[in-house]
Amino acid sequence: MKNLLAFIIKDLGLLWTGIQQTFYMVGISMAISTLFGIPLGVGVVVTEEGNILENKYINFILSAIINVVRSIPFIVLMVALIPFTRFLINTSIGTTAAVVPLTIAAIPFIGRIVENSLKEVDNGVIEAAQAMGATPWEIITKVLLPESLPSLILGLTITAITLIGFSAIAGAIGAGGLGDIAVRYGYHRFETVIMVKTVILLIILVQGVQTFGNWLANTLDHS
Amino acid sequence: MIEIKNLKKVYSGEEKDVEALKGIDLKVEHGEIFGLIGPSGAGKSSFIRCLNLLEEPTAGQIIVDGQDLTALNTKELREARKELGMIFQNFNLLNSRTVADNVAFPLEIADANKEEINDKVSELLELVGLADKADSYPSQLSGGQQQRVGIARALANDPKVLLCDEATSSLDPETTHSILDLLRDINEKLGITIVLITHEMEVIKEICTKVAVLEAGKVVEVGDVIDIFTKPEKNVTKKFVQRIINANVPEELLSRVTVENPEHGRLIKICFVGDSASEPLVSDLVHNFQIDANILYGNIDKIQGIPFGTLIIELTGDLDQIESAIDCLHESDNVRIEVITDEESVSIHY
Ligand SMILES: Nc1ncnc2c1ncn2[C@@H]1O[C@H](COP(=O)(O)OP(=O)(O)O)[C@@H](O)[C@H]1O
Ligand SMILES: [Mg+2]
Repeated sequence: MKNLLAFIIKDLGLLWTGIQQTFYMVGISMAISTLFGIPLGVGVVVTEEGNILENKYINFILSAIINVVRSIPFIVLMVALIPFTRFLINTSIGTTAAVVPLTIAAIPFIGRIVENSLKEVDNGVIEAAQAMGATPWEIITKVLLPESLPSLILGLTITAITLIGFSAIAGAIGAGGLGDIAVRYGYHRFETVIMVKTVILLIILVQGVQTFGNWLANTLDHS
Repeated sequence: MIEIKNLKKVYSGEEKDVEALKGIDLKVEHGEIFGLIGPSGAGKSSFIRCLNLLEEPTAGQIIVDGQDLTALNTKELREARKELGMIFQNFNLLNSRTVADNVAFPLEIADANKEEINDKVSELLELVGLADKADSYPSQLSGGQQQRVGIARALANDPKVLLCDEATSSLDPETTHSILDLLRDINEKLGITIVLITHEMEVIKEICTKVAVLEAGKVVEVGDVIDIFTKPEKNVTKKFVQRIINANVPEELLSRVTVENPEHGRLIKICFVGDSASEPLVSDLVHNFQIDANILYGNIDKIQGIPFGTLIIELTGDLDQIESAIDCLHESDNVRIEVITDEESVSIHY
């Protein structure tokens, strides 16, 4: 029993720092990418042919942004973005530096998820709003987004989990976080115990995020 | 109230264009319940969706209260649409909002303040009989209740016109009945003009004052409901009318000896309207033609409060006399007769 406790307490400081860094990277990049990703996804949907703000050109550009960025593997994107990151925050190494590629990768990811969620909204409901004289803005804010909210929440949950994974890859540029610890201690120093611990923590983290996302989506779903 | 002039709608497709409406001219008077009936694919949905420009007409004008909707810009059209409430076959309620918030939706769009919204929502929920469901979500309601919410929502901005797009087609007969009662109530109490489309003659019979029959994108017949029922002229119309009347004829009568063996006599159906007495008519037949008349079935229905009866009688005796009697009935203004044969296509004489 004592041994077990000691086993757990050992490395606690290190792991705690890792958890904080992971939360920091994923949290900030989630917040910023949601801010940009939702308008991006909404933009793609409403400019589609036959939709409320049909516009071929804008639709083409927005879809292209999503498709191009989404087709670049994260590790490549991260390296390619180093000059941009350096320009933005004067360094390309460290936890904050990792936020930049994470955010850039997550924006089109969220855009696509928002696009798919909004497309699930029944066209009849949109028409009903149009028949009542709603403006496109009112349709977006009062119909499309609220009606797809549960589905959006599930989508954002997937994004958060994907970002936890990406943040571990970002360990390669010294980003810190749990993934980084696993690589440094487990891979480079053969400290299997620490590696196992980080893996367990990552599993708990991902499960926690998923469970919370499911719960929230369920609570908000009235359909 | 509403004037539809030369309304055309063409859907351009990859291979060929579909001409859904081929030049429709109709007038709907203030306070009417105007029904448009037609078989599937006739263009009913296209028609009603053109009325509030959910579908843009290819040609023609929609004039509501002197205002030509087709001439308005986007902003003006949004304002004009607030005068036209609409309800749908699938209700189209917002699942994310409670009943009360669904009804509040059009008021929010019209920039009403909180207090106005609350008052109006309670008033409307009272009107449609759902005051106790204000905080429920649509998914917790039955179809009929959902349509009531749809009606309350459509009435929120005090529209002059209510458009109904197959509003009862996904409801069972009993619920249909109660929704139609509610619509009639609204028409009478609030003086709102109603335009509805349907493929069910029952709906027309139950609440409409006027009806137009649509076939392949054209209005083939239009008039007061009672006239259309008693004196249908076009084949589509006859089919619709027949469907609802035949529904009343007991199946077993079709196996009568007079149906299977015409040399024994004739089985005829007489339809009469209003108070045109049918009794003397039958006894006159017996007197004037020395034949036997056996009443097998009788039924009286009401259309717009006017009695509308069906009588099935079996005529036996001398065949020539029977034929003369039938001819004589054809001459009569108030009745419409039909000889029932064993074939599916009952020969009708108007
Ligand atoms: N959006 C559309 N695009 C192409 N064709 C359509 C569209 N909507 C309806 N149509 C066609 O127009 C005709 C009339 O359809 P509709 O108005 O839905 O008739 P109804 O409601 O009487 O069944 C049909 O041939 C239908 O296939
Ligand atoms: Mg239809």
